[in-house]
Amino acid sequence: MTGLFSALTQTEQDALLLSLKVACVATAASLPVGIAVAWLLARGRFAGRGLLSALVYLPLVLPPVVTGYALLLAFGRHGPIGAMLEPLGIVFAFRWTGAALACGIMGFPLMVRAIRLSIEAVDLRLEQAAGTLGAAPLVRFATITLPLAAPGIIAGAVLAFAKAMGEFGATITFVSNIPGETQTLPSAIYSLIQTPGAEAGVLRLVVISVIVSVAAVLASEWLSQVAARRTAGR
Amino acid sequence: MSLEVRAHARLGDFALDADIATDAPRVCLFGRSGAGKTTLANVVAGLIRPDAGRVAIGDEVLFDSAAGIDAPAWRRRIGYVFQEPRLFPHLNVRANLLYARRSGGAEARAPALDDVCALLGLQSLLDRKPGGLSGGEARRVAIGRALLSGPRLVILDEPLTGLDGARRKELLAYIDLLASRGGPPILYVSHSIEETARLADVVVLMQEGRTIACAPPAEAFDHPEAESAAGLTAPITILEGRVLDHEAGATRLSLGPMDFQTPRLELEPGEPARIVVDARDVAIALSNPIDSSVQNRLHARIAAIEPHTGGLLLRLDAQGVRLKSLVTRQAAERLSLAQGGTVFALIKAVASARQG
Repeated sequence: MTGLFSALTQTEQDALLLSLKVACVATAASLPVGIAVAWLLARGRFAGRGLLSALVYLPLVLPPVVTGYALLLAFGRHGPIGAMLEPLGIVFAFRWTGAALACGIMGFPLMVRAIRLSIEAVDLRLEQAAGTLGAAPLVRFATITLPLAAPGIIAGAVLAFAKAMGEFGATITFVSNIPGETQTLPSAIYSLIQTPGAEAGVLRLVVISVIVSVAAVLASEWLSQVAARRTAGR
Repeated sequence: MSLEVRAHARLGDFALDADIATDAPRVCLFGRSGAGKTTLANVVAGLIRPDAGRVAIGDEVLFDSAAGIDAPAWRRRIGYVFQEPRLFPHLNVRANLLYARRSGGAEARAPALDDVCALLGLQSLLDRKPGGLSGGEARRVAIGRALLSGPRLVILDEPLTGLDGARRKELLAYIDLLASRGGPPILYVSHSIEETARLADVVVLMQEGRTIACAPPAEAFDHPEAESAAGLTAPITILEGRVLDHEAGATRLSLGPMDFQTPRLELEPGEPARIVVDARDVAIALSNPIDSSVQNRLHARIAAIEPHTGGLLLRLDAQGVRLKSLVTRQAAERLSLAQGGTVFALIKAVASARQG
């Protein structure tokens, strides 16, 4: 693995490390929000639930370039949210943080869907039983719902991570393709494809992509099995 | 501790109309399935909000529509053993039992884990996961879990459903033991006369969402609607007596001023016992048939004669012991039975139920 890594050019190494960083940050930052939204959609009874659901799933059906452009409008230097955050030192435009934001949003529907399904599968009667044992609603959520939904939460997180590793359209639209700053693995592959004589580099990055993806899927399988064993009740 | 429930609730086509006031330690909610027993239990536990009424345990008001009080279920401190054990599958038995303690729901006066395990025979199960337990074991863990939250009332909703005969007997003995060891009062939901007659200090009869009686078992089953509420084809009588002695597979009971023989009961002399007598199993004779095989022959006065779909229902008074007999019209005519007449009641069979 280290041998393979040192065989990469500096640009290629940067792209891989950046992609891993972006995907980790995107997944970690969106997970709490994803769990909260999934819970609202699974258990909430409020006006606007349908609207929230549509909004969450929108990035799944919109062309990624549209999502990226919307992010640029909202979070760009002169966008309403971007302008508000800039004095606080939070900048997304043309930064790796912007790539993480774009990747997080693109992976969000996948994450929410997996978690929502697993929360819906948690037997409400168990939560009710926990209630009669004196557990307050938040305690119930933390001690019953969350552990029982764990396999789905892991699956959702891995899906979001994999999506972030491969996200291209929204990222390149929002934060461009700056080597060392916003050039993720897919962006780097795209640049190399455009470069005459860089076929070897393309192949190397494609192999890396496949390895990372397969590793993520295997890791999620294993984690889900561990979690499922814990919740199976045997 | 007193239990007061007055509740009206509309749930779709179903209407609940409950009125209970008792301070008995063992209350049985009795009725056919669909009578609203579980609904009423859920109202007490705070899982269903009634439209109007009042629920109070002791001086603690849990719900009062007039005063705007509605304590959430998790603040009511009512242990609930549901029809299904509802154990938490991701926690082992020990963690299930201690759930209330860990989640901050157990009162300081909750019993010790060791005591509850000893009472319910749970020591060997502590490290197992719920998925590997048998039905009876899971039920016992659920009861233990409810007890360990230190509840002010324990609701047991048909806890014997789906268990075979031996397990039923064993678990019923545990529940019986529970109440007689100074544990919390019990609200026991059942459609079984046997279980009800065995456990109840007070029976709440339910029919079509209404509570039609709230009285000691003998009195509750004398209610005119008891038969239809219980889904019986003939009325029953519950007799309360005391064990005198055992002989050769039979137990002799004192029943008021009389002796009474039943199949052997697992009780010590002096202990109270209840027996259930089906009105069809009480035959009538005008003279004492001493040459009959029937052991229990009570001299009785006919207190009332009522028409019944199965013939005529005789309400008998045998020296203070009230008994019902169902006879055909032809038989009543042949024997010229009339109110105030004296007869011999021959009790052919009894279903026994004990109270510990």
